[in-house]
Amino acid sequence: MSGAVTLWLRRLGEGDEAALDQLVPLLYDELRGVARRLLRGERPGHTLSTTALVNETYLRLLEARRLAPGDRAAFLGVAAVTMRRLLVDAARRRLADKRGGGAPVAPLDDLAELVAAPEADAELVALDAALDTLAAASPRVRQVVELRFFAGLTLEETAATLGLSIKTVQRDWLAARAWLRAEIGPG
Amino acid sequence: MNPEQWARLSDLFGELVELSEDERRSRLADPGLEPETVRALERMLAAHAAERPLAIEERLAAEPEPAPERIGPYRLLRLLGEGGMGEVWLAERDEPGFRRQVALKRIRRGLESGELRRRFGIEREALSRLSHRGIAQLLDGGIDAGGIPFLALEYVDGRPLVDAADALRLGLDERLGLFAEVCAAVHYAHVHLVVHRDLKPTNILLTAEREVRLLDFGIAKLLDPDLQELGATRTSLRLATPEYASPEQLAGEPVTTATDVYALGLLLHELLTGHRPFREHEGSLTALERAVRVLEPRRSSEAVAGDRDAVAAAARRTSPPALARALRGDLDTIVATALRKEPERRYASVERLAEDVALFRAGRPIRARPESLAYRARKFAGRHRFGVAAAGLIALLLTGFSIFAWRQAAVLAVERDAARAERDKARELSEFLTDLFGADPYADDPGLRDSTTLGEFLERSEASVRRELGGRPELEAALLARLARLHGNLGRLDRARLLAEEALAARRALPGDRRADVAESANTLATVLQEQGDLAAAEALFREALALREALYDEPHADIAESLNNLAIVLVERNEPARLAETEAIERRGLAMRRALYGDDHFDTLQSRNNFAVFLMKRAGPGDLAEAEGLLREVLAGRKRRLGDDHPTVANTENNLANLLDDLGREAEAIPLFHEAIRAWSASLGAGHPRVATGLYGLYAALLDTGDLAGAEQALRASLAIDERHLPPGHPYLATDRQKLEELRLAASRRKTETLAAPNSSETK
Repeated sequence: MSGAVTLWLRRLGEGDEAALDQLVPLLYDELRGVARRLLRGERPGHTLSTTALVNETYLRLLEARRLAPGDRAAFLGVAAVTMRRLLVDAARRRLADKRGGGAPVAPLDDLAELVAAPEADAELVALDAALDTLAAASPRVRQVVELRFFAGLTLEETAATLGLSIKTVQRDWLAARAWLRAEIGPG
Repeated sequence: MNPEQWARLSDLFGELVELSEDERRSRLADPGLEPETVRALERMLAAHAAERPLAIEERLAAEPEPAPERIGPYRLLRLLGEGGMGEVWLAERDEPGFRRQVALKRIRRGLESGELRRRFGIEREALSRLSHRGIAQLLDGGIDAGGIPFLALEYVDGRPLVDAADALRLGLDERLGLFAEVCAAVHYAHVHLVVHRDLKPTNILLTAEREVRLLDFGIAKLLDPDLQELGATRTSLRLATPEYASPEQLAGEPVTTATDVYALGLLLHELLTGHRPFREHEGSLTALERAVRVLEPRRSSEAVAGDRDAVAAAARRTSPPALARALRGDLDTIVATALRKEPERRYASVERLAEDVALFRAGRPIRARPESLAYRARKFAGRHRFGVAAAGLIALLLTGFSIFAWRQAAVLAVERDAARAERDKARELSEFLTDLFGADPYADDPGLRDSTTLGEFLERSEASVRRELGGRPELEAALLARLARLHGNLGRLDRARLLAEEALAARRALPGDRRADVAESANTLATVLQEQGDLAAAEALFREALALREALYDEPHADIAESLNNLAIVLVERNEPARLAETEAIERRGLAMRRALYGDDHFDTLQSRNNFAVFLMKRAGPGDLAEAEGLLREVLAGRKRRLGDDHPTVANTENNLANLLDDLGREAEAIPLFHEAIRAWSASLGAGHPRVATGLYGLYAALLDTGDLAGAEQALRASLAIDERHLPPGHPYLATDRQKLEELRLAASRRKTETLAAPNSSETK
């Protein structure tokens, strides 16, 4: 019994770009559900990392047989894209609220708010734009950064997921990180 | 930034980062670098050195959200489930003197605007119309303190219908009874102008009291014209579950009550057989969509024939063959009618579907009729008019299907054509023909392909082809070619030859460029002729097919490789010393082409390597047998790795290797391999298959060499018993085998006499 996530991942693999639009909401649901489950049992103030979240989600989908075992790499790629959209959208919303002025502070509610520090909102929005610039120059670098930042993968995991050598990923990563820091960071 | 700029920046940065401060400065002073690039690099190096991470580089963390304690007047007890649009909680309304558990459904926070809120409204509207014991009742609805809408529904403590029926080991009639209850609930909703659109086992629960309840009208559609704007007028796959979507949902066409009829057809199929009709296609959404929209579902009765369905059968308190028997006929027709592709050709309503189920349960004739042959033939022709031509498709199915009952002097399993997964092809063909002609050739015992039954079936099929398809000579020729092949597989060589000749002549006479079809038919006829021993004629036709394909395609090409493989086999069989070099050249060319096409470990390449080993065994020149042994061992390992231990081609290679070892006098190694080949052939093709006779014959020879006369006799008898069923009474193999059996008996009695007559023998009684 194949799950919807697996089916859409296959379809994405078959070159159907529109499948991404199906997968992001599906994974959004999963990521959010897992975040809440993880947090429900925890003490207040406990932190939750993107890595833990993505890993738990993967395991849960696997267990529920909504994901086939061979689809980990594809899943991680889409999970990273989903997390990116999620965090950036939430940051945009909060920034818009602040600009709107006087809008009530939304209750802690989005997955994004469970995992992101609000003070990073402006940075996230800037990062998103900078990543688009980078993606135009090198889609591979975009993937490396997304997997590192938004799925929390190590260099080794990133290399394995993308089927690249660690050396290549390391070079991409160092250059991209320096470029992004220079582009976004203060000073 | 363009790719070149980034590549340059990235390369330079990678270089600079390794250098010392001084080296960097001198490198950046290079007048060949544009000032812009130098500035960018300096900023990157500074950012790199500053170790001032972005916020996102830190661990992302936040406070947990406390689960709400109550929503409206309801106290939340535990989370029952989370879905696409919200959560469902078990909740309790605790007013004085009144306690009731409910399933409380609410929209996910943050998603409560727009489409989801609209859908939630539709579900509420739909449920508010429905009051039926088969439908989870809407009890209450409202908006919580945070402005988020919620629905309170009857809490159903139950299990998904199919799982529950399996756990209770319900028989077919009990399952049909539950299905009738589901139909009643869906029909009730239809009468109230609500289409569910997402009927699937997880949305239909069975309670401990064995009552069914429909859940989740979350994507329901309201049919009243004045409320159309409430419901989505255009369906979207996003809303339905792909495995349970109907052809019209996949096509984005309007959804009607017929969509629920289709879903009920799927449910009935799963309830009866334990799985969905297109389970083989669920690996890819594209394949699944194609299957749902184009392929005829396998009949329920055929879907339970395999061993893997033993569990499903046990859960129905029956066995796979008995289950298949029970499903064949009316239940097949009922499921097939509900599952028709065109909504207007399904049952006109859920009520009609329920009526047929009731008629069946009462032992009375059902109203639905199986599809007519004419309809199926039209569908088939229509489906393949574009893209792949009908003949092309049939050729595709035909190639690689070759289970001729033939034994050569050396009893080697040479593999003709692309003998791709013989068993699967056999099943595919029988299904196709069944689909087309509406009769089941393996009706009495799906595990055993009884040649008499199948032979009669083929004759009926031929009459149907001629009667129904006379107006479409192209399709007729293609089907005759297929029938020829099937006759050949049954050892009915005379009939096979006549049909193959007719198909070839018809294809030669048809207008247009028929070279591919002619080559295919020439190939079929040549295979039959070779079988009959007319090797010269077979060779001529194989050569013609090869020449046609060489003219048609650029090398390397799969069809050319197939022709080379076939030609090589007939040359090996002709075994003319003067043509050994030519034979070897053709063998090598075919093998090289498949290596180029597929690599070393591909099914087809392994086949060519197997056949090349057979050639070496036949030639038996210096070093040939050693090379053949090495090759066969490699092929065997490759096949086992790819195909598992039970595949018929694994057995082919085991058998070949066993024969080789036997020839080399290594009977002790050969005998277990013969046993293994016999076991694998029996497991994959059936114990009565001619290939099993081949293996038994080899075993007989090896045992005879070791002096095990009793074992040899047993093997030969078993081999003969199979051959007697497949070969015509006057066939030379039968005579030879009987003669050998007689010799064995004589030898055994002579040995017995000698033993008895030897007073000094240490053997005691």
